[in-house]
Amino acid sequence: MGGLVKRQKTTGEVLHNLNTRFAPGEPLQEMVQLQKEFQIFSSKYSLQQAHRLLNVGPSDHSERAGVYRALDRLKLVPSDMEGVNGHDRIIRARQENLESSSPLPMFTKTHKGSEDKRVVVTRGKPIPHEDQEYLIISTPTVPSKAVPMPGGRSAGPKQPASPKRAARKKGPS
Amino acid sequence: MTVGGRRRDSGAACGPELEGVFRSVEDYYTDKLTEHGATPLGVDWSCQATQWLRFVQLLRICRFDTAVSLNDLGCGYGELATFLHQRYPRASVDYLGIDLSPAMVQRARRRHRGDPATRFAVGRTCQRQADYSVASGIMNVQLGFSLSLWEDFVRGILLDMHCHSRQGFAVNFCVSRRPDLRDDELYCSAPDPWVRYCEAELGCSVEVVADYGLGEYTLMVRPEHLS
Repeated sequence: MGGLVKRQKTTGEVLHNLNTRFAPGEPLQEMVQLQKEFQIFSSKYSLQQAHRLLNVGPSDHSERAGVYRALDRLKLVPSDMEGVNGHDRIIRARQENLESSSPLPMFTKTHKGSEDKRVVVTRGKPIPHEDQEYLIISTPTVPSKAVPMPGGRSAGPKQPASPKRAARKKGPS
Repeated sequence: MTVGGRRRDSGAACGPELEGVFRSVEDYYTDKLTEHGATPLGVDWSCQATQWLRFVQLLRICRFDTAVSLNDLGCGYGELATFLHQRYPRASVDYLGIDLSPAMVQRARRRHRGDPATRFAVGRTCQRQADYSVASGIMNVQLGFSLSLWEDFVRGILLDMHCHSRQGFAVNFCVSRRPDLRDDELYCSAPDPWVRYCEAELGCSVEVVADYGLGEYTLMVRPEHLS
């Protein structure tokens, strides 16, 4: 999310919230029922609206606007599906999985944009100590510019990049 | 007539201990509203989507093909009224939301001002006869009170809803404990004791709605002669 969020831990918190809500067992069942009733992941709602409905944003409200802008900017990021942008790819992946006869838990992560500029959806076992298969949704990030902090220190080695910036650099899909 | 040691026509349970329960619940939700504002977290739900899914279950008790009146006990900041208008835009509903917390009622009134069919009142009972009554989540937050006292509180609420509902009422209960909460912080119960109570003590027929993905169930309680 690059310069769109100010705190380093915001991205990690959002990923944690997503992975908690789509975890195996009761959380996944909850999501299946919510999808069945409200079609949260569909053309009815943007990713930002879906995140608002599920309250998976950061606890620091001052960071929420940045996170939501980052979600909107996924529309400018390519995906592993020809002609489908990263934003719509995530919605489709969640929708198809939740509406399938045997939905998988979903694991959301990031990868380096320098290695793959696309939103990528795969199946796999992302948690080494679990034998559980997940649908894995990975969004590209690039090393952030060091964000100055009070006292002149930098914010740290990495932050997720603005998807818009990534798309510009690597071109649209 | 008495039911479970209480006058059947009196509605809410009373007594000094229960007075303390009502006051604590009022304080708890007023504090939540102050901390989180008029949001699902402000009424202790995790998100709007799960809050709505509960409303879907509760409103199954209602038939909206004719004009109806509805009590919403523990209405919070009035989200069920908002949902009702979105979900059933053509329904004619005389809605009364009741909440212990004056701050909640103030927020609810502000959100629904200009809608004369949607009213709110501070109180601990349904306050009027209506076709239906619903209550979402008001049995859950036990606040450290003893189980027996809390179940007195629950019985009082069920009795009150029964006494003020011509066609029936609906309430939800948690069934899954949360590891981060002590047993006396979150009230959880299997359906059976409350089904028996509504059938045997209130003379109603009961339908249990479960398996909607939230670790809880909803009781749909109708007078025997309507079932």
